[in-house]
Amino acid sequence: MGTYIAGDNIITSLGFTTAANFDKISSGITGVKIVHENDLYPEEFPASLVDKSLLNSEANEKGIDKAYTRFEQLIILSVTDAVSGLNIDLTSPKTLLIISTTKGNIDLLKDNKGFSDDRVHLWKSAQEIGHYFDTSKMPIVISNACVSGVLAIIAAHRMIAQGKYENVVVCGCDVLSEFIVSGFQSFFSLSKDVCKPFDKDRSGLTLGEGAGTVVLTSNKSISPGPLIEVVSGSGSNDANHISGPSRTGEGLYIAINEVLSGRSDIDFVSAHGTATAYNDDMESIAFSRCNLSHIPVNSYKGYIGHTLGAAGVIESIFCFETMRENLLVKTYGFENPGTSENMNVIGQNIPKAINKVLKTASGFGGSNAVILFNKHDE
Amino acid sequence: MQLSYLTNMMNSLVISSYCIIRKGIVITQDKRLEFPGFTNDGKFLKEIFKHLESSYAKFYKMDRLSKLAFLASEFLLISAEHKKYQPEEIALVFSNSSSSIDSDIKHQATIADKNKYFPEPATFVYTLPNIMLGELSIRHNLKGENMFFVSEKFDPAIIVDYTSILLGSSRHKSCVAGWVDYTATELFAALFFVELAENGSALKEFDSETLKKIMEL
Repeated sequence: MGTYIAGDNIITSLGFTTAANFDKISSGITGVKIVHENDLYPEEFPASLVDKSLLNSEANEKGIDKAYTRFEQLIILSVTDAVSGLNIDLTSPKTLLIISTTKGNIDLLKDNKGFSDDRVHLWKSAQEIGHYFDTSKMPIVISNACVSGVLAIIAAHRMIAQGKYENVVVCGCDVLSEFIVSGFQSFFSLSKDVCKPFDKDRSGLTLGEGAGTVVLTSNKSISPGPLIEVVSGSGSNDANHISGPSRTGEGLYIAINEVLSGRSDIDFVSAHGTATAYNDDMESIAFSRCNLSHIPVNSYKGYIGHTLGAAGVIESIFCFETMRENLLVKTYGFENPGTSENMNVIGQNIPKAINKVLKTASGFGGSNAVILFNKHDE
Repeated sequence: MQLSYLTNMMNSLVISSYCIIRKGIVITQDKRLEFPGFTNDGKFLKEIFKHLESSYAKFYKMDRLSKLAFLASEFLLISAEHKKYQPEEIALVFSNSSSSIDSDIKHQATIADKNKYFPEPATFVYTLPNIMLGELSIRHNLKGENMFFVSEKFDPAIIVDYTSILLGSSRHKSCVAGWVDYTATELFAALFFVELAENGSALKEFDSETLKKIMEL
């Protein structure tokens, strides 16, 4: 049974819909700004933040401003928009909701803001969201560092292929907090300005926040054209280091090889591209080992930062837009090549027929995940 | 009929070893160890480590959640059954309730006071629950797919379902699956080494009922 994309939504600093976000990135506009917010970090730093007043007014309009945290509001808004206009019943036992996140409501550790103490737990957030949508099964939570989003879409695809569900709604979400920013700062892994993926002068990642939702279905007829199918997915562990990428790109190499299983007709690779020296080098090595060095590749991190558990979902949706619009989007921040193996980094937008897209992600814990999407000709 | 019967046989999964760690107790398929005078400050974990007579120095760098997972995996894979597989054929499907809350609280404490603001990378890196999968992968050279679920209570169905999906593919031949949870007041680890029936030593069937029973041992 095939798995198809029926709907999606993105909420980031660039807007509250997929169209608003893609419109900005395809116009070369970044949502990363230098921010100085004391409740996030004592010093100024670059980040992509969801507009507070816009989120407040959207949440207020939906009546979810009081009873739900910022993290939960983003999920509710994103899922609601992604399923709107689709004939999908979230309360049906044939529909599953998967939430992908690294830290959820972790900001409640510092101050519970009047919520119960267990609200900091991911399962509790998931229950609240399940109750909001009146889902028949409690949402499943996937928390596997920065590969969570890609892994969640792979899991959804497999569950549909297995016949267990007709529709799976995957929402990836993370919000920035002092907890997260201070942790990445302690690693000295944050760039002083907007990150520069794959560039020779790259100096670290930029953090971002947001939500992305993908509605997957076995029912071709509810998918608006062009039809995008999930072909296959794979994951692998480097078995090398808990916080540093493998020097040989081992896990990513294994996962890409399994997904490609001999095929060489990939049009575009959407890489993880965090813009840390080691990650980008690792990716260049893994892609080279998989004979993908000549394939156009980009990173979306310069537009919206690294959105952690949401990244794989949001960036997959950018891939869908690339397939729908037949437009390869340039890597914001990239100027001069500087990875250990050559890469065909997209430096300017390129209009081109795009049918087969590989999305990759790599993260802490040595985890890697890869998924292949295919657009059917109409 | 015949064909589907055969397919089912081929896909049936077995548990070939398990390890449960509860307060003061370690249980495996063939032994039960008791550590009297249990306290939840990590001393218990060090006692188990001593009992193993392991020289794996990285243990001391791990947070308590990873230590707990590490210890359970040492008992689980003691007979090295997994070595008959290629590293990329061994998957990891884990779950828990509290994510990495023990390290989360520790990291939060380093940033609570603006005048004593010292976040530690060595602490922060453990504020992700799947780090323990990374630790186990390094220790036992496991390069299969990783998955980490968070649920309020142990949900055997999701572990059985997802492990079955992974072992139903042509790539994965075995899986370390289970539950590892650590908080200031509770700890619980239950790991299972799962194989295809045709390759495994077939200690028990791998299904929800069996998992529940073993966890209540």
